[in-house]
Amino acid sequence: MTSRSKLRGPIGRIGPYAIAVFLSLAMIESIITGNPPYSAFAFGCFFIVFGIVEYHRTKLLIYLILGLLWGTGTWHSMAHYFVSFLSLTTYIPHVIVGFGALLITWPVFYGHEKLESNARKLFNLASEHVHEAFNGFTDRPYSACKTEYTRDEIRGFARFMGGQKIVKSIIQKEAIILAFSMGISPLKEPDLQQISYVSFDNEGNVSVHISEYDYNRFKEELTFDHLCASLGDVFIRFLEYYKKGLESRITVELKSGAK
Amino acid sequence: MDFKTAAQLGTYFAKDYAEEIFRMLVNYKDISASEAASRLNLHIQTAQDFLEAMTSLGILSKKEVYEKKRPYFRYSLKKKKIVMDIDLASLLEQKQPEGKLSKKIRENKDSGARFVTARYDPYLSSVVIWIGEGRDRKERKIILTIPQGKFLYQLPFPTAEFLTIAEIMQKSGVDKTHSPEILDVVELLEKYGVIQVK
Repeated sequence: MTSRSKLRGPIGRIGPYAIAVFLSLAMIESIITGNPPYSAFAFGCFFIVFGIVEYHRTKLLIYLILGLLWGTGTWHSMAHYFVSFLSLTTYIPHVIVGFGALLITWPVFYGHEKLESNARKLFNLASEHVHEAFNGFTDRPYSACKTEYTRDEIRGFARFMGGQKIVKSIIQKEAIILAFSMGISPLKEPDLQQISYVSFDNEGNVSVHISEYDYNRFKEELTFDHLCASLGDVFIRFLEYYKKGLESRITVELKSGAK
Repeated sequence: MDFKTAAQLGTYFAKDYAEEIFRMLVNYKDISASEAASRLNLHIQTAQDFLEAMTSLGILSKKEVYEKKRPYFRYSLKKKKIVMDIDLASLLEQKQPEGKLSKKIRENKDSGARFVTARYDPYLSSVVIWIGEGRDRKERKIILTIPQGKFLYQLPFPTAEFLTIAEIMQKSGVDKTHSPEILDVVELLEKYGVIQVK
């Protein structure tokens, strides 16, 4: 697919650029003054602010913890230069704790990043065929259609989608909920109103809910019912692939949503 | 007896002095407002209002008499038995169903309403709307019956095509016997700007 994404870029995308910018600044500062304390201070501030912003968005505490540990760790590195109250002997343990925290929380960190990236791909796929922008947002679920599946098929499909970290599957007696979000992490198991989901009930009814945050990530105010219908179609198509044993097509099609 | 008359009657019957005034009316041939007030230790205006209200409801009759040249009224019971018979079926809006079910509706754009879904079932459990403006703005939560929740779940989105109430009822599997409660919630949400009518 050559068309451009209709979504705004992910906030996390600024991370690598910021690191490159701060490292360049540190190098320039080192060349001029011999030491880069001001760049180190600014870099530490960046980690802390980034941690707070990401925590506020995803509601995952690990972002706040990692942001604080890495930010203060970067400040701690200033012990190399001129700040006398910072001890160089405690700097190494601080760095070890920072990286240790990343290792321990890696499954949650990676799981969330993967889910968010797949949520973007799902929204990109859904928005490909929506060309009108008349807004019409409502927080009501959209009743997409009625389709046919057995209880085992839909449960298997939910487990496959959950296992591939495409969505967070919530398997209930009455319905199967496939949750995804570009804001609050589905791993946090928030109130369903706050995230997007597609639900399949026991009678074959398919409903789509797009959260206000996710809808606002679109550059244009795409016609809401068309977007919901299109998202419902994506999931129904994926379900058909799964029923025919063509799971690899789901992965391939999802990859085409990466823009 | 219609509901309004019954409600009026009920209001006066609920007064703590009502029984005592009726006791006087049963035991005395007729009474004046001042006699009732002095006997029951009430303000004369209170007694007067009560007797006038009962007269307007057809329970008492009044006769103008003169004490020297000053005219006043004497009240007497018209009937010794009061029967409150209210036909609640008359509240059912008989004329509506067929005509009003063909009304085309959809959700209003930017209505500001918050729809709360029943956790895993395909229906809504309540609608939260904001009424008033500025500091007087208040939240009003409307708890929905299951047929109303199923109906609103299928309500066309703000940018979707309008559908008639009957079509939405059919789509949501809501039986026609629920028409009055569906029309009631539609009317209410239309009043608060949540539903747009074509």
